[in-house]
Amino acid sequence: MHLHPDIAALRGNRASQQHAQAPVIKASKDWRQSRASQALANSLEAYAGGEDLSGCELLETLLSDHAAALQWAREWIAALIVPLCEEPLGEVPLRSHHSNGFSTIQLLNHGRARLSLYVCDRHTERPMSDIALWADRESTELLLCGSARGTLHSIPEIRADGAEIQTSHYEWRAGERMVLVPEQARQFLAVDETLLVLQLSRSADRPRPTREYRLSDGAVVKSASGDKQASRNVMALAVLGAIEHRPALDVMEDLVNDRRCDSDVRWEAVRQALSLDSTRGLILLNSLEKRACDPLAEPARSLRAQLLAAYPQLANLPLENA
Amino acid sequence: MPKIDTASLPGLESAVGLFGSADLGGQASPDVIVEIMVFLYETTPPAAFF
Repeated sequence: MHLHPDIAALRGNRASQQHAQAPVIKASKDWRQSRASQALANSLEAYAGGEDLSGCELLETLLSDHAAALQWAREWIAALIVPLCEEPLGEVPLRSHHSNGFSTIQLLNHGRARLSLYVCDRHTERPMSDIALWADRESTELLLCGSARGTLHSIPEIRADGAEIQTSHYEWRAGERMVLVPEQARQFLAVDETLLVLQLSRSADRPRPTREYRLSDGAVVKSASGDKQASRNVMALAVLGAIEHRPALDVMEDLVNDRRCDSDVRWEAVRQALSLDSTRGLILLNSLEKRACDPLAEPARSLRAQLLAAYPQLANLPLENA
Repeated sequence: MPKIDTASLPGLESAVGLFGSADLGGQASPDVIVEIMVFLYETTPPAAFF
Protein backbone atom coordinates (compact mmCIF):
# COMPACT_ATOMS: atom_id res chain seq x y z
CA MET A 1 0.00 0.00 0.00
CA HIS A 2 1.32 3.42 -0.93
CA LEU A 3 1.23 5.95 1.88
CA HIS A 4 1.89 9.60 1.09
CA PRO A 5 4.85 10.91 3.18
CA ASP A 6 2.73 13.82 4.49
CA ILE A 7 0.12 11.41 5.81
CA ALA A 8 2.80 9.08 7.17
CA ALA A 9 4.28 12.06 9.06
CA LEU A 10 0.92 12.78 10.67
CA ARG A 11 0.63 9.25 11.98
CA GLY A 12 1.64 8.95 15.59
CA ASN A 13 2.12 12.70 15.92
CA ARG A 14 -0.93 13.85 17.80
CA ALA A 15 0.18 17.50 17.94
CA SER A 16 0.45 17.66 14.13
CA GLN A 17 -2.94 15.98 13.76
CA GLN A 18 -4.54 18.53 16.04
CA HIS A 19 -2.80 21.33 14.19
CA ALA A 20 -4.16 20.06 10.86
CA GLN A 21 -7.64 19.65 12.26
CA ALA A 22 -7.98 22.92 14.14
CA PRO A 23 -8.81 25.34 11.27
CA VAL A 24 -11.38 23.07 9.63
CA ILE A 25 -13.05 22.25 12.94
CA LYS A 26 -13.27 25.95 13.77
CA ALA A 27 -14.73 26.81 10.35
CA SER A 28 -17.30 24.05 10.63
CA LYS A 29 -18.24 25.12 14.14
CA ASP A 30 -18.55 28.79 13.12
CA TRP A 31 -20.81 27.81 10.21
CA ARG A 32 -22.94 25.57 12.46
CA GLN A 33 -23.29 28.31 15.09
CA SER A 34 -24.20 31.08 12.68
CA ARG A 35 -27.68 32.49 13.10
CA ALA A 36 -28.80 31.17 9.70
CA SER A 37 -27.61 27.62 10.46
CA GLN A 38 -29.23 27.67 13.89
CA ALA A 39 -32.54 28.73 12.37
CA LEU A 40 -32.28 25.99 9.77
CA ALA A 41 -31.40 23.45 12.46
CA ASN A 42 -34.58 24.46 14.34
CA SER A 43 -36.60 23.92 11.19
CA LEU A 44 -34.96 20.50 10.75
CA GLU A 45 -35.82 19.63 14.35
CA ALA A 46 -39.50 20.31 13.64
CA TYR A 47 -39.30 18.17 10.50
CA ALA A 48 -37.61 15.34 12.45
CA GLY A 49 -40.47 15.57 14.94
CA GLY A 50 -42.97 14.64 12.23
CA GLU A 51 -44.03 18.06 10.89
CA ASP A 52 -44.92 18.22 7.19
CA LEU A 53 -42.26 19.94 5.10
CA SER A 54 -44.79 22.66 4.23
CA GLY A 55 -44.96 23.48 7.96
CA CYS A 56 -41.15 23.93 8.22
CA GLU A 57 -40.87 27.30 6.55
CA LEU A 58 -37.09 27.68 6.26
CA LEU A 59 -36.52 24.16 4.95
CA GLU A 60 -39.43 24.44 2.56
CA THR A 61 -38.04 27.72 1.20
CA LEU A 62 -34.51 26.34 0.89
CA LEU A 63 -35.76 23.33 -1.06
CA SER A 64 -37.97 25.44 -3.33
CA ASP A 65 -35.80 28.44 -4.18
CA HIS A 66 -33.04 27.31 -6.54
CA ALA A 67 -31.02 30.55 -6.40
CA ALA A 68 -31.19 30.73 -2.58
CA ALA A 69 -30.23 27.08 -2.18
CA LEU A 70 -27.32 27.47 -4.56
CA GLN A 71 -26.10 30.49 -2.63
CA TRP A 72 -26.49 28.63 0.65
CA ALA A 73 -24.42 25.69 -0.67
CA ARG A 74 -21.78 28.07 -2.05
CA GLU A 75 -21.42 29.75 1.33
CA TRP A 76 -20.92 26.45 3.08
CA ILE A 77 -18.37 25.27 0.51
CA ALA A 78 -16.52 28.62 0.72
CA ALA A 79 -16.41 28.44 4.52
CA LEU A 80 -14.74 25.02 4.38
CA ILE A 81 -12.47 25.52 1.37
CA VAL A 82 -10.41 28.27 3.04
CA PRO A 83 -9.20 26.16 6.01
CA LEU A 84 -8.74 23.13 3.74
CA CYS A 85 -6.39 25.15 1.53
CA GLU A 86 -4.47 26.06 4.68
CA GLU A 87 -4.40 22.46 5.99
CA PRO A 88 -5.21 20.05 3.14
CA LEU A 89 -5.04 17.02 5.45
CA GLY A 90 -7.64 18.46 7.81
CA GLU A 91 -10.72 16.29 8.04
CA VAL A 92 -14.12 17.95 7.83
CA PRO A 93 -15.93 16.85 11.01
CA LEU A 94 -19.13 15.86 9.21
CA ARG A 95 -20.35 12.42 8.22
CA SER A 96 -19.40 11.77 4.62
CA HIS A 97 -19.18 8.89 2.19
CA HIS A 98 -17.50 8.47 -1.17
CA SER A 99 -17.70 5.51 -3.53
CA ASN A 100 -17.96 4.82 -7.26
CA GLY A 101 -18.46 8.40 -8.37
CA PHE A 102 -20.97 9.21 -5.64
CA SER A 103 -20.05 11.49 -2.72
CA THR A 104 -22.32 12.66 0.06
CA ILE A 105 -21.82 14.81 3.14
CA GLN A 106 -24.29 15.39 5.95
CA LEU A 107 -24.45 19.08 6.90
CA LEU A 108 -27.14 19.02 9.56
CA ASN A 109 -28.98 16.23 11.29
CA HIS A 110 -31.55 15.88 14.00
CA GLY A 111 -32.95 12.50 15.06
CA ARG A 112 -34.23 10.75 11.96
CA ALA A 113 -33.86 13.78 9.64
CA ARG A 114 -30.77 14.78 7.69
CA LEU A 115 -29.84 17.62 5.38
CA SER A 116 -27.05 16.62 3.00
CA LEU A 117 -25.31 17.58 -0.18
CA TYR A 118 -24.38 14.91 -2.67
CA VAL A 119 -22.42 14.86 -5.89
CA CYS A 120 -22.84 12.32 -8.66
CA ASP A 121 -19.96 12.30 -11.14
CA ARG A 122 -20.63 12.61 -14.83
CA HIS A 123 -20.94 9.32 -16.68
CA THR A 124 -22.31 8.05 -19.97
CA GLU A 125 -25.37 5.88 -20.12
CA ARG A 126 -25.12 2.58 -18.27
CA PRO A 127 -27.46 -0.36 -18.75
CA MET A 128 -30.24 -0.45 -16.19
CA SER A 129 -29.33 -2.66 -13.25
CA ASP A 130 -31.76 -5.48 -12.58
CA ILE A 131 -31.56 -4.82 -8.83
CA ALA A 132 -32.89 -1.73 -7.02
CA LEU A 133 -32.93 -0.82 -3.34
CA TRP A 134 -35.88 0.42 -1.29
CA ALA A 135 -35.31 2.05 2.10
CA ASP A 136 -38.02 3.14 4.51
CA ARG A 137 -37.40 6.87 4.23
CA GLU A 138 -38.75 9.83 2.34
CA SER A 139 -36.60 12.45 0.68
CA THR A 140 -37.02 15.81 -0.95
CA GLU A 141 -34.19 16.96 -3.18
CA LEU A 142 -33.37 20.09 -5.08
CA LEU A 143 -31.06 19.64 -8.04
CA LEU A 144 -28.59 22.52 -7.65
CA CYS A 145 -26.39 21.84 -10.69
CA GLY A 146 -26.13 19.30 -13.49
CA SER A 147 -28.49 17.08 -15.41
CA ALA A 148 -29.20 13.36 -15.48
CA ARG A 149 -31.44 10.68 -16.92
CA GLY A 150 -32.73 7.69 -15.06
CA THR A 151 -35.59 5.62 -13.76
CA LEU A 152 -38.02 5.65 -10.90
CA HIS A 153 -39.25 2.24 -9.76
CA SER A 154 -42.45 2.08 -7.74
CA ILE A 155 -43.96 -0.73 -5.75
CA PRO A 156 -47.72 -0.23 -5.68
CA GLU A 157 -48.28 -3.69 -4.21
CA ILE A 158 -46.28 -6.33 -2.35
CA ARG A 159 -47.47 -9.86 -3.01
CA ALA A 160 -46.55 -13.01 -1.11
CA ASP A 161 -44.08 -14.04 -3.82
CA GLY A 162 -42.49 -10.60 -4.30
CA ALA A 163 -43.38 -7.13 -5.43
CA GLU A 164 -45.14 -5.69 -8.43
CA ILE A 165 -42.71 -3.09 -9.77
CA GLN A 166 -43.55 -0.29 -12.18
CA THR A 167 -40.74 1.60 -13.90
CA SER A 168 -40.84 5.09 -15.44
CA HIS A 169 -38.08 6.99 -17.21
CA TYR A 170 -37.21 10.59 -16.29
CA GLU A 171 -34.85 13.43 -17.10
CA TRP A 172 -33.76 15.79 -14.35
CA ARG A 173 -32.30 19.27 -14.76
CA ALA A 174 -30.88 21.95 -12.43
CA GLY A 175 -33.60 23.71 -10.49
CA GLU A 176 -35.93 20.70 -10.37
CA ARG A 177 -37.24 19.25 -7.17
CA MET A 178 -37.41 15.48 -6.71
CA VAL A 179 -39.60 13.89 -4.08
CA LEU A 180 -39.11 10.22 -3.25
CA VAL A 181 -41.44 8.25 -1.00
CA PRO A 182 -40.51 4.90 0.62
CA GLU A 183 -42.38 2.97 -2.12
CA GLN A 184 -39.99 4.39 -4.74
CA ALA A 185 -36.40 3.69 -5.73
CA ARG A 186 -34.35 5.75 -8.18
CA GLN A 187 -31.47 4.91 -10.49
CA PHE A 188 -29.39 7.42 -12.43
CA LEU A 189 -28.59 5.79 -15.77
CA ALA A 190 -26.65 8.69 -17.30
CA VAL A 191 -25.25 11.82 -15.67
CA ASP A 192 -24.77 14.27 -18.55
CA GLU A 193 -23.39 17.03 -16.31
CA THR A 194 -22.10 16.41 -12.77
CA LEU A 195 -24.93 16.58 -10.27
CA LEU A 196 -24.87 18.61 -7.08
CA VAL A 197 -28.00 17.92 -5.08
CA LEU A 198 -29.37 19.27 -1.80
CA GLN A 199 -31.13 16.41 -0.08
CA LEU A 200 -33.49 16.42 2.88
CA SER A 201 -34.35 12.95 4.11
CA ARG A 202 -36.33 11.50 6.96
CA SER A 203 -36.39 7.85 8.03
CA ALA A 204 -39.59 6.28 9.30
CA ASP A 205 -40.15 6.41 13.04
CA ARG A 206 -39.81 2.60 13.19
CA PRO A 207 -38.18 1.83 9.84
CA ARG A 208 -39.10 -1.36 8.03
CA PRO A 209 -36.20 -3.38 6.59
CA THR A 210 -34.34 -2.03 3.59
CA ARG A 211 -34.92 -4.41 0.68
CA GLU A 212 -33.33 -5.08 -2.66
CA TYR A 213 -35.73 -6.36 -5.30
CA ARG A 214 -34.98 -7.92 -8.67
CA LEU A 215 -36.78 -5.76 -11.20
CA SER A 216 -37.42 -8.55 -13.71
CA ASP A 217 -39.56 -10.68 -11.40
CA GLY A 218 -40.04 -8.61 -8.21
CA ALA A 219 -38.26 -11.14 -5.99
CA VAL A 220 -36.54 -9.96 -2.79
CA VAL A 221 -32.80 -10.37 -3.26
CA LYS A 222 -31.58 -9.02 0.07
CA SER A 223 -33.07 -7.58 3.28
CA ALA A 224 -31.30 -5.52 5.89
CA SER A 225 -32.61 -3.96 9.08
CA GLY A 226 -33.78 -0.37 8.68
CA ASP A 227 -33.34 0.18 12.41
CA LYS A 228 -29.82 1.26 13.31
CA GLN A 229 -30.30 0.87 17.05
CA ALA A 230 -31.63 -2.68 16.66
CA SER A 231 -28.51 -3.65 14.71
CA ARG A 232 -26.29 -2.03 17.33
CA ASN A 233 -28.06 -4.11 19.97
CA VAL A 234 -27.57 -7.33 17.99
CA MET A 235 -23.85 -6.57 17.70
CA ALA A 236 -23.55 -5.63 21.38
CA LEU A 237 -25.20 -8.91 22.40
CA ALA A 238 -22.79 -10.87 20.20
CA VAL A 239 -19.81 -9.09 21.78
CA LEU A 240 -21.13 -9.66 25.33
CA GLY A 241 -21.50 -13.35 24.48
CA ALA A 242 -18.05 -13.55 22.91
CA ILE A 243 -16.37 -12.08 26.01
CA GLU A 244 -18.56 -14.34 28.20
CA HIS A 245 -19.87 -11.44 30.25
CA ARG A 246 -22.26 -13.26 32.58
CA PRO A 247 -23.66 -10.15 34.32
CA ALA A 248 -25.33 -9.35 30.96
CA LEU A 249 -27.69 -12.32 31.42
CA ASP A 250 -30.21 -10.14 33.30
CA VAL A 251 -30.33 -7.64 30.43
CA MET A 252 -30.65 -10.47 27.91
CA GLU A 253 -33.65 -11.85 29.81
CA ASP A 254 -35.28 -8.41 29.92
CA LEU A 255 -34.80 -8.02 26.15
CA VAL A 256 -36.30 -11.43 25.41
CA ASN A 257 -39.34 -10.58 27.51
CA ASP A 258 -39.84 -7.14 25.94
CA ARG A 259 -42.36 -7.65 23.13
CA ARG A 260 -41.83 -4.06 21.84
CA CYS A 261 -38.25 -4.96 21.04
CA ASP A 262 -37.09 -5.99 17.55
CA SER A 263 -37.47 -9.77 16.95
CA ASP A 264 -33.88 -10.18 15.73
CA VAL A 265 -32.58 -8.48 18.91
CA ARG A 266 -34.76 -10.68 21.14
CA TRP A 267 -33.64 -13.83 19.35
CA GLU A 268 -29.96 -12.86 19.54
CA ALA A 269 -30.48 -12.40 23.30
CA VAL A 270 -31.93 -15.95 23.44
CA ARG A 271 -28.93 -17.37 21.56
CA GLN A 272 -26.34 -15.57 23.68
CA ALA A 273 -28.14 -16.39 26.95
CA LEU A 274 -28.20 -20.08 25.98
CA SER A 275 -24.49 -19.96 25.28
CA LEU A 276 -23.63 -18.13 28.52
CA ASP A 277 -25.85 -20.25 30.75
CA SER A 278 -27.74 -23.17 29.25
CA THR A 279 -30.04 -23.49 32.28
CA ARG A 280 -31.23 -19.88 32.18
CA GLY A 281 -31.40 -20.03 28.38
CA LEU A 282 -33.67 -23.09 28.52
CA ILE A 283 -35.91 -21.32 31.04
CA LEU A 284 -36.22 -18.46 28.55
CA LEU A 285 -37.12 -20.83 25.72
CA ASN A 286 -39.69 -22.52 27.93
CA SER A 287 -41.40 -19.23 28.82
CA LEU A 288 -41.37 -18.06 25.16
CA GLU A 289 -43.07 -21.26 24.01
CA LYS A 290 -46.02 -20.58 26.26
CA ARG A 291 -46.81 -17.19 24.69
CA ALA A 292 -49.16 -18.15 21.91
CA CYS A 293 -49.16 -14.74 20.17
CA ASP A 294 -45.42 -14.19 20.39
CA PRO A 295 -43.65 -14.54 17.00
CA LEU A 296 -40.75 -16.17 18.87
CA ALA A 297 -42.94 -18.96 20.36
CA GLU A 298 -42.60 -21.33 17.42
CA PRO A 299 -38.86 -20.79 16.85
CA ALA A 300 -38.37 -21.30 20.62
CA ARG A 301 -40.31 -24.59 20.52
CA SER A 302 -38.28 -25.82 17.58
CA LEU A 303 -34.96 -24.79 19.13
CA ARG A 304 -35.80 -26.45 22.46
CA ALA A 305 -36.62 -29.71 20.65
CA GLN A 306 -33.30 -29.47 18.78
CA LEU A 307 -31.36 -28.87 22.03
CA LEU A 308 -33.09 -31.68 23.91
CA ALA A 309 -32.17 -34.07 21.10
CA ALA A 310 -28.53 -32.94 21.21
CA TYR A 311 -28.25 -32.71 25.01
CA PRO A 312 -30.67 -35.19 26.66
CA GLN A 313 -29.51 -34.10 30.14
CA LEU A 314 -31.31 -30.76 29.62
CA ALA A 315 -34.65 -32.61 29.89
CA ASN A 316 -34.10 -32.96 33.63
CA LEU A 317 -34.04 -29.22 34.36
CA PRO A 318 -36.64 -28.02 36.85
CA LEU A 319 -37.75 -25.22 34.48
CA GLU A 320 -40.90 -24.21 36.32
CA ASN A 321 -39.13 -23.45 39.61
CA ALA A 322 -36.70 -20.92 38.28
CA MET B 1 -24.73 -28.35 32.29
CA PRO B 2 -23.51 -28.46 28.69
CA LYS B 3 -21.80 -25.48 27.13
CA ILE B 4 -23.75 -24.58 23.99
CA ASP B 5 -21.90 -23.01 21.07
CA THR B 6 -23.81 -20.06 19.54
CA ALA B 7 -22.71 -21.26 16.08
CA SER B 8 -24.98 -24.30 16.60
CA LEU B 9 -28.02 -22.09 17.37
CA PRO B 10 -30.06 -21.09 14.31
CA GLY B 11 -31.15 -17.55 13.50
CA LEU B 12 -34.79 -16.67 12.83
CA GLU B 13 -36.18 -17.57 9.43
CA SER B 14 -37.40 -13.98 9.16
CA ALA B 15 -33.97 -12.57 10.13
CA VAL B 16 -32.68 -9.60 8.15
CA GLY B 17 -29.08 -8.39 7.71
CA LEU B 18 -27.57 -5.69 9.88
CA PHE B 19 -28.38 -2.05 9.19
CA GLY B 20 -26.54 -0.85 6.10
CA SER B 21 -25.60 -4.32 4.88
CA ALA B 22 -27.87 -4.11 1.81
CA ASP B 23 -26.13 -0.93 0.60
CA LEU B 24 -22.64 -2.29 1.24
CA GLY B 25 -23.03 -5.31 -1.01
CA GLY B 26 -22.29 -7.66 1.87
CA GLN B 27 -18.83 -6.25 2.58
CA ALA B 28 -19.39 -5.81 6.30
CA SER B 29 -19.49 -9.22 7.94
CA PRO B 30 -20.93 -9.11 11.48
CA ASP B 31 -18.52 -11.88 12.54
CA VAL B 32 -15.51 -9.77 11.59
CA ILE B 33 -16.93 -6.70 13.35
CA VAL B 34 -17.55 -8.70 16.54
CA GLU B 35 -14.02 -10.14 16.36
CA ILE B 36 -12.57 -6.63 16.07
CA MET B 37 -14.64 -5.38 19.00
CA VAL B 38 -13.61 -8.36 21.16
CA PHE B 39 -9.95 -7.83 20.16
CA LEU B 40 -10.18 -4.16 21.19
CA TYR B 41 -11.88 -5.06 24.44
CA GLU B 42 -9.23 -7.61 25.30
CA THR B 43 -6.19 -5.54 24.29
CA THR B 44 -7.32 -2.13 25.51
CA PRO B 45 -8.83 -1.55 28.95
CA PRO B 46 -12.40 -0.23 28.38
CA ALA B 47 -11.60 2.79 30.58
CA ALA B 48 -9.07 3.94 27.94
CA PHE B 49 -11.91 4.66 25.52
CA PHE B 50 -13.32 7.47 27.65
